[in-house]
Amino acid sequence: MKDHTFQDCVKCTVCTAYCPMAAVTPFYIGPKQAGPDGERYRLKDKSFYDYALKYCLNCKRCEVACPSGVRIGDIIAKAKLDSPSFKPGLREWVLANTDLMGSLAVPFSRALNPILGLDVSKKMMDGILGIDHRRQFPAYAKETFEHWYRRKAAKAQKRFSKQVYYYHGCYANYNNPALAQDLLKILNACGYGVQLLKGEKCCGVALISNGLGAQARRQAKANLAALRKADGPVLTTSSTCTMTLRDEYAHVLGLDNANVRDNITLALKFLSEKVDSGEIRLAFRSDYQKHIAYHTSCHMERLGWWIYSLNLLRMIPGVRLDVLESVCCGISGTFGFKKENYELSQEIGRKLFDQIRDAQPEIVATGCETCKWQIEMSIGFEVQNPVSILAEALDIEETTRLNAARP
Amino acid sequence: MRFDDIIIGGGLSGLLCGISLAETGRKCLIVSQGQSTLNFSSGALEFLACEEGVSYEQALKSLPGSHPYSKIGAEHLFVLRAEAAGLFERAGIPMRSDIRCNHWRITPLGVLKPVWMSLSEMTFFSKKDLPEKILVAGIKGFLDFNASFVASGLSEAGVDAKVCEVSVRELDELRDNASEFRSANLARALDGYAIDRLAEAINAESPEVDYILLPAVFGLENGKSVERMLSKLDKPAALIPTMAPSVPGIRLQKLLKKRFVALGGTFISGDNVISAEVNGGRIDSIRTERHGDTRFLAENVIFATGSFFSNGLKATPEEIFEPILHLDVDYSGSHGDWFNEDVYAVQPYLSFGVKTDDSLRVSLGGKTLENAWAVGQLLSGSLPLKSGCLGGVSVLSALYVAGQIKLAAQ
Repeated sequence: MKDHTFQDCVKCTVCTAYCPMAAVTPFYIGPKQAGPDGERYRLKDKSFYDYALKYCLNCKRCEVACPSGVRIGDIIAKAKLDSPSFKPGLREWVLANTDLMGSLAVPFSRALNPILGLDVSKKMMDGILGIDHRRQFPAYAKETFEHWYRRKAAKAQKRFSKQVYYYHGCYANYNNPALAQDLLKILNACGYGVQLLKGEKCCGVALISNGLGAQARRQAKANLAALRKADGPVLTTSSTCTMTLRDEYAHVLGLDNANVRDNITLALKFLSEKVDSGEIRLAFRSDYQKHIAYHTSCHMERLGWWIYSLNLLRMIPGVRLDVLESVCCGISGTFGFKKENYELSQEIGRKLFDQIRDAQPEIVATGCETCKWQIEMSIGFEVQNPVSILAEALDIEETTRLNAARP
Repeated sequence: MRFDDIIIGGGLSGLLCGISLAETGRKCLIVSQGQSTLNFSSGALEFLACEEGVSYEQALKSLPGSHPYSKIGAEHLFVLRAEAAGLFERAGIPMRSDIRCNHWRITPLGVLKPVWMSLSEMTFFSKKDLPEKILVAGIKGFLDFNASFVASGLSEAGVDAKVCEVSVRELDELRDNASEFRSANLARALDGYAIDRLAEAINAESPEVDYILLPAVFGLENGKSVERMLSKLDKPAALIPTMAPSVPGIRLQKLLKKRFVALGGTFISGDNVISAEVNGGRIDSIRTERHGDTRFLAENVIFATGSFFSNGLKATPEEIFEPILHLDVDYSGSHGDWFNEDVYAVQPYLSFGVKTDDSLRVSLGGKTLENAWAVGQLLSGSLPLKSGCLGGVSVLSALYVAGQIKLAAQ
C-alpha cells in the first residue's frame, strides 16, 4: 500500500517550522524534505535521503501542523522500514524488544534494578551497546501485571455485569503494574469488570522505529487477532500504544485494522464520555489537594485525546491545573537512549523542562511512559499518568456506591 | 462533550472569535485541521485600500452591498477596529494601528501598500514621514528575501535606497543545506550574541542612512529577539516579510493560541470536522475525524474555515461547495467564468464564499441556521486582493459575530 498523500504537499514548509528536531540541529533536513519531497525521489531509488531518516522522532507534530493533510510522519516511518541501508543492530534489537526484555528482567528485578543503576553497568552498556551512560533505565517491577491479575484480580472481575478489555502494553505490565491496578480500581468502582486480551503482544512501536519491520508485522498480526476476539471495548493507558494500534498498523505497516480500530480507546476517553453522558458518576475525596501540570505527549497530540484527560482532571475539586504548551519532551521512545542522540534529546526537551520548572507543580501528568522517564530523569519532577491521579483522588467507596445504585 | 461555542478553523478569524468569546468566560472549542494561513501572512492587516487621509468611512461607501463590510456596517466597523486593538494588546501582542485611516507598509518588492494594523516591528509609515535614505540589509544566501528587489522598488518611489548583504557564523551550518535555508530556521539560529554580531555588521554599512530595513527572520516564539535586534542597530529600523513560512505570522499564531488557551479555551489541532447534526434550523453538535463517535455539543457553531487554500471551500469542474455541511454558497456562472486566465487580473473565484444574512448567519437549503455563523475568508462578497480588505474582513467579521453572541447571552 503506497501513501499518496505526499502529492498534496504544497511546499509551505510549515511542518519544518514546527519540527522539534529541525529546531535543534541543522543536520536534519526537516520533515518536508525527508517526507513528501524525498518520497518523489524514493520512487526511483529507495535509499534517497537515507542519512536524514534517523533523525525523525516519529512525533507526528509535522502531521498535526500540515494544512494539506499530508501524512508526513507516516511517509518517513515507511521510508525508514523500506530503506536498504537502515539496518538495525544488536542495540536496536535489545531496545525494541520490550516484551522479551521485560519477561526476562521481571523475575530478576530485585537484583537487576540496582545493577542497571550502577555506573559500571551504564558504562558497559554505553561501550558495548551504544546506550548512553547518562540515561536511567526504568526500573522493572517485582511481578508483571498479568501475573498479578491472574493471581489476585481475575476472579473478582467476573461479578460485574458490564465488562471491558484492557490492553496494558509493556510499560504497565513490566515496569509499572501500579498504573494498571489503578485503572482496575477506577473501573471496578464505576461498575465495570476488566478482562485481559488473550495473547496480547507489545504494540511494536519500537520495532517500527528501529527498523525491525518483519517482527513488527508479526506482532501486529497477533495483536489484531487478539483484538478481534474482544467482545467489548478495549481500553488503553498509553498514548503511544493507542496510536500505534489504531493508526500505525494501517498507515505504516499496511495492515487492515478497520474492524478493530474504533473499538480501541484510551481509558480516560472512555471514562470522560461515560461521565459526561451520566452513565458513570464519580465522587472525589475532599482531602485531595494537588498542583498538577499537564504535559501533552506527541502521540496524545496526534490523537487529539488530551481533552479527555483535562476534562477528568478538572473534575477533581482539589486540583490546581496548569496546561503546559504542547511540545516534545525529546526522548521519543528508544531514540533518546542511544548514545549519539542523548544531547539532541535533552536539547529538544529543554522547552518542556523550562515550562515545568516555571510552573513548579507537585505532579506532572502525562499519558506517555517515556515522557515520564525523560522528565523524571532530567529535572526530577514526579510524573504520573492521569489514571493514577484519578485513582488517588477518587473516593472509591462513594463512587462504588453511586454506580452500584444505578441500573 | 459540551461547549458554549464551537469554532471550526484555528486561523486569525477563528482565534480572534474564540478569544473574544472566551474573554467573557464562555467555554469555547476550536477545531483546527492544521496550521493556518496566518503562518504565511505578512504580520500586517489591511482594512481597505484607499489613499492616506481618506477616511475609512468615506472609502466604505464605494463597496457593494454584498461585501461583508456592508453587512456589518460602518458604525460597527469603527467600534470593532478599536476592539481589535484592545484584544491584541490584552494578548500581549504589540501592534500599531490607526482606526481612522491607512498607513503604509513596504512589501518584499519595495512597493508601498496600505495597512491598517501591523505587528509593531514591521514597517508602518505615514507617506510624508517616509525616510529619505534607507539601507536594505539582506542575509547572504537567503533566497526568500531579496534586498535588491526592495531597494529597486523604493528607488522608484523616490527613496535613496542602498543594499548590503551580511552574515554571521551561526548561519554557516544552516547554509550547507541551501533548500532549508529558510526563514524559520534562520530565526532559530539568530538568537543572543548572533543577533548582536549581525547588528554590528549592519551598523558598519549604515553610517550614511537614516533608516534600516531587514528581513523578518527574528523571534519565532516571542518578540525578545526582535527587540534585541532593533535595539542594537544604530538607526531606526523595521522588518520586511519574507517568503513563507512567515516568522511574524508563526509568532502571531502561537501567541493568539496561547492567549485562547490561557482563557480556558480548548484548541484541537490536526483534526477535521466531518459532520454536523442539524435539528430544527440549528446545529446541535459536530463530530470530528480523530474523535470518532464523540459528539461536541454547542450553543453556537462558527465556521472560520477559510477559503479554497484552507479547504473551507472546495471546487470541482461542476460546482463549488462547502465541504462540512454543504452550506449555501454564493457563486455564479460555470467553470470557465470562475477565473481569469490573466493571473494578475481580478479573479472572480476569490469573491466566492458561503451565503450569509446581514448578521453573518449561514444558510442551508435556503434556510438560515439560527446558531451558525461564518467569519473570515469563507464569507462571500469580498475581493481581498483588489479591495485590500483581507485581514480586516478576517478580524472584524470574527469580532462582529462574537459580539452578537455575547449580546444574546446577556
